Amino acid sequence: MRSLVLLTLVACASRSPLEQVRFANQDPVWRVDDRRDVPVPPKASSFNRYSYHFNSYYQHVKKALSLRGTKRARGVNALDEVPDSTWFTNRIGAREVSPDEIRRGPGPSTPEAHLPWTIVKAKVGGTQVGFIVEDSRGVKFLLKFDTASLPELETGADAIVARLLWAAGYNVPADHIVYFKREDLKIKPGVKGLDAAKVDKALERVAIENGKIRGIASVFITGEILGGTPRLGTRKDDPNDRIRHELRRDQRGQASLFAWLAHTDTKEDNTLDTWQADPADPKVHYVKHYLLDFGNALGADVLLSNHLYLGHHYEIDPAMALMQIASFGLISRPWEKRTISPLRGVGFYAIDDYDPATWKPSTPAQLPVIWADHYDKFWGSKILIRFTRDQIAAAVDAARFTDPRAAEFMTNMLIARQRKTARHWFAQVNPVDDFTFKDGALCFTDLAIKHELTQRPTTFVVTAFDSEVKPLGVRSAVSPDQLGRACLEPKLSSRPDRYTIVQIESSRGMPGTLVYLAMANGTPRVIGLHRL
Amino acid sequence: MDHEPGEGVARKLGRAVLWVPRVPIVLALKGVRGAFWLQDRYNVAEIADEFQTEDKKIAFFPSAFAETGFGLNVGIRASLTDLISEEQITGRVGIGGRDRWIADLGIARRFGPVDVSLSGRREARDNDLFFGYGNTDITTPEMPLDPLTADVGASARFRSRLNRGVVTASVKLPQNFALSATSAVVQREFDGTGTADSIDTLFDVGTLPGFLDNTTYLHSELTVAWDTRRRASRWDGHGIRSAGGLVLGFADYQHGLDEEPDFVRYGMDLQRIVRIARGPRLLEFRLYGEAVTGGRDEVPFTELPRLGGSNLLRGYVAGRFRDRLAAVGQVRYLWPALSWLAPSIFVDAGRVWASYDELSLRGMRVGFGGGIEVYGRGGLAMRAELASSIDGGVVGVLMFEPAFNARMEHH
Repeated sequence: MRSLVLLTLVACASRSPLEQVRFANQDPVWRVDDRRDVPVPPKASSFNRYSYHFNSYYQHVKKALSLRGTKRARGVNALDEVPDSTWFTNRIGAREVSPDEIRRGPGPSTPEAHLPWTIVKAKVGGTQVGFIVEDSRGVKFLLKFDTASLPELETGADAIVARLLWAAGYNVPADHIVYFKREDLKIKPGVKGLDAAKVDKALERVAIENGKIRGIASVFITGEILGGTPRLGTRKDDPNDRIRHELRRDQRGQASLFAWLAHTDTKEDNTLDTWQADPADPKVHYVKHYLLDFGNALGADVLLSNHLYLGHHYEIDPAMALMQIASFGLISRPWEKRTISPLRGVGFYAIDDYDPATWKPSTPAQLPVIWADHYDKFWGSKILIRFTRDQIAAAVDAARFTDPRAAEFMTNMLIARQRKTARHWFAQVNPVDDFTFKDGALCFTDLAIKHELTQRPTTFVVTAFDSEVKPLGVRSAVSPDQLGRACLEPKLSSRPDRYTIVQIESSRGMPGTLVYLAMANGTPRVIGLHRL
Repeated sequence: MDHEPGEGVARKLGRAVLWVPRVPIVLALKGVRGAFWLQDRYNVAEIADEFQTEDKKIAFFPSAFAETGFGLNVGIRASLTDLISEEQITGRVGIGGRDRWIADLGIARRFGPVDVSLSGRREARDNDLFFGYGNTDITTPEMPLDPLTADVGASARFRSRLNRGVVTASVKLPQNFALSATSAVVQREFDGTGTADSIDTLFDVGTLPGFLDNTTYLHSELTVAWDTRRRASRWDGHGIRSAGGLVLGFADYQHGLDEEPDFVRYGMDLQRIVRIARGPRLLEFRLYGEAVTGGRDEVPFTELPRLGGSNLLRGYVAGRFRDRLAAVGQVRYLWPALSWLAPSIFVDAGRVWASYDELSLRGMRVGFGGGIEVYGRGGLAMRAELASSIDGGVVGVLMFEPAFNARMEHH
C-alpha cells in the first residue's frame, strides 16, 4: 500500500517542504488493491478491557517522554484524499448519494417486513437486553432495545450515526429501527437458557407502547469474526494490512466526524474486522474493517451514564483533575450548564458547549482518533460538510422518532454542529480543494466560502516555482467568486521536466497549499497537493 | 524518511535528556500493564469472587486504615446474609498499628420497621495515646504529671483490652427521622506499654480514674436523628452527599457495674451541606459537642470526650485533647475534579473544657488541611487527608473503608 501512495516525501528536516515534497507524474490512486486473497483467516483477537485502557495511558506517557510529534497521516493519495479500500469507500461527494439511499442505509433491508422472527440465541456480554434473531428470510441480526426510562434514545442515535458514517465512507452494519409485537417473536426450540418466560421478563425492561416494542435490528456482518481493529500497528498475518493503523488517514480523520456526532464511545471494542469472501469472487477472501455500536452517540451517553462531562474530558483525565484540584473548583466548566432536552429520544446534543477543537471521547483509548492532527480533522471536515440538509434529515428520519419535534431538533443540531466543526478546521488548514487545470488555468475552490462558513473577504496570493524551487515570475493575486471558485494562469516551468510548484496562500492567514503540476500528453495537469 | 514538522535540535536534545527518566518510567508502566494483562487473561480479580458465594449471601471484604500516630491497620470483614432467615451476621478481624488485634461478631435482623442488632467485640490495643486532660500543650516532663491538675500534657501511650456486648434497636421514622436505643456492657482493662513514653512513666496513673481499677459499664443510650443528607442531583458524582443536613442528639446513661460512679454522656451533631454551585461545589458545616455529667476524678479517662484524629479536630493526632466537655466546629469546601474524584479543604476549630463555667472561645485549637475522596458506584471508596494545625505537625489519614460517624469511634 505504501508504495502505492504517491506522496513521496524526501527527508531533510532543515529544508522547506518546497524542496522536500515531490510527486511522480502520474494519476492519483483512487482505489487501493487491499482485496488480495488471504487464504487463511488472520488470528482473531479478544478485547482485553483492563490492559487495553491502561495501555492507552501507557502509550500517551511513552509518546510524551519520547518528544515525538504527531506524524502526518499515511494512506492518502497524491491529492491528500483517501482511496477506496477495505477500510473506506468514497461515497458522499464522490458520487450521487440520495436522501433515500441514506435513509435505507447499507446492507439488507429492514427485517420488519419479514416477520415472524425467531430468537436463535441470547445476546452475550453487556448489560442491555438483546437477542440474536433470524427473520423469515433467514437474515440474522442482533436485536437491541432502549431502556424503558429513555425511549428512542439509543436506538435513534444508532440508526442516525450509522447512516451518516456509512455515507461518509465507512463500513457499518445495517442498523434498522424496528417495531414489532411480542407475538412476532418466537424462540427456536432448544435454545440454551432461554424460554418464553425469560424473554417476557427481559422485555419488561424495555419500552413497550400500545403493544408495540421498539428495537434496533443490527444485521450480522458476514464472514469470520476477527475481533476489533487493532488501534496500533498492523495485523501481521494480513498481507493486505500494510499501513500502521494509527497512521491511517481514514482512521484519524474520524476525529472530526466523531466530534460532530458526539460519538464518545469510540474504542477498539466498537470496531470489527471480519475475514470475508469477495462478493465478486467467493474464492477470494480478505479482511474488511467496520465501525459498530453508535447507541451512545448524539449525547445519549450523558443521559445513560449521568456523566455531564462526556465530550469534554476523559473519564480518567489526569490533566483535567490536576487543573480542577489546583483551581479549587473556581473555574466553571462549560458542561456544567448543560440542560436536559424535554424531547423524547434526544440526548445532550447541543451546540453552545461544543468546541470542535477540544472535544474528547470518553477515554483516550482510540489512539488514531486521539493522535489525529489538524490535517486529518480537516479531511474529516471536508467530508462532513458535504452532507446537505436533505441528506441529514433522511438519516434522522431513519430513527423513526415518534415526536416530529425531535427529528426537527436533531436535524437542526446536526447541521449546526456540522458547520461549527467545518468552520473550525477550515480555519486551521487553507481550505482550498477541487483543483483542476484546464485551458491554461489552474482552478480551485475555497470550501469555507463555498459552504458560507466565512464572510471575510479573501484574496489568494500565488507564487510558482520550478523543480529547483526557483521562482517563476512575480507573485500574483486572485479573488474567488461567490461560490469560492478561483482561477489563475500560473507561469509554468520551462525546464525539460516542466515540473511546476504553485504555492497558494490565503489572505485569511492559514498556512499555504502547494499544488504540483506536470505535463501529460503535452498538457499540464495536477499531479499532487501538499498542505502546509 | 518522512518530512515531519518540528524535528529540530531542541527536540532531539530534549529526547536525549528525557531518555534517563523514560527508561524507569516505561519499565514500571510495563509492569503495571503486565498486571492488567494478567487480569484480562486470567481474570485475577475473580479471586475476589472466591470471597463471596454466588448468591452473595456469604462475603468477605478487606479493609485498610492508616493514621498518623498509629500506622497501618488492615482487616477483613465477613458478612453472612439471610442464611437462616432475613438476618445478617457480620464479623471482623483486624491487626495493625492501632489494634494489636480486633475481633467482633454481630447479628442484625429487621422486625417490621425496627432493625435490631446484637454484637460482641474483643479488642487488644497496644498503642493508644494519652496526652493528659484539658486544652494543654505538650512537654517532656521530668517528673510524672498529675493528669487531673497538671496544666501541661505529655505524649504517652497505654495498652487497653476491651470486651463489649451491644444490643441496638433502631427505627426509621417518617420525614427522615430515626430513633435508636442501645444497651451495651463494656469492660476495659489498662496497662502501661513498658516503653519510655508509657503512660505510667509520664503520668501519675494512681490519680487517673479507671486506669488501675479497670472499668465495666452498662450503657443505655438513646439517639434521635433527623437526617436529610442526600445526592441532590443525578448529575452529581455517585456517592456524593450534596444537600441536606443532620440534626442528631444522644444521651447515654453509663452505670458502673464494678462500683464505678454513674454518669451521663450526652451530645449533639449538627451538619449542613450547602450546594453552592453545580459540580457539585459544596460547603459542609458541622458543629459537634459532647459532655459528661461526672467530674474529672469520677469519669474514667477513656470515657471522656476526646478531640483529634481523622474525624473531630483534624490536624491533631487522635485523642490529643480530652476533658468533660468538647466541641468542634468544622467547615469543609469540596469541589469536583472528576465525576469520581473530589478534593476538599477544611478548617476545624475546637477545644475541650473542664466545666461549663470555663466555656470560652479563648485558646481554641485550629486544624486545617485538605483531602481527596474517591467515589465508586457504591459510594465513598477511599479518603485521604493531610492536615496540620496552628500548633504545627502534620497528620495524615488514608482510609479504604471510611467510617464517618464520630459516635461509632467513641463507642
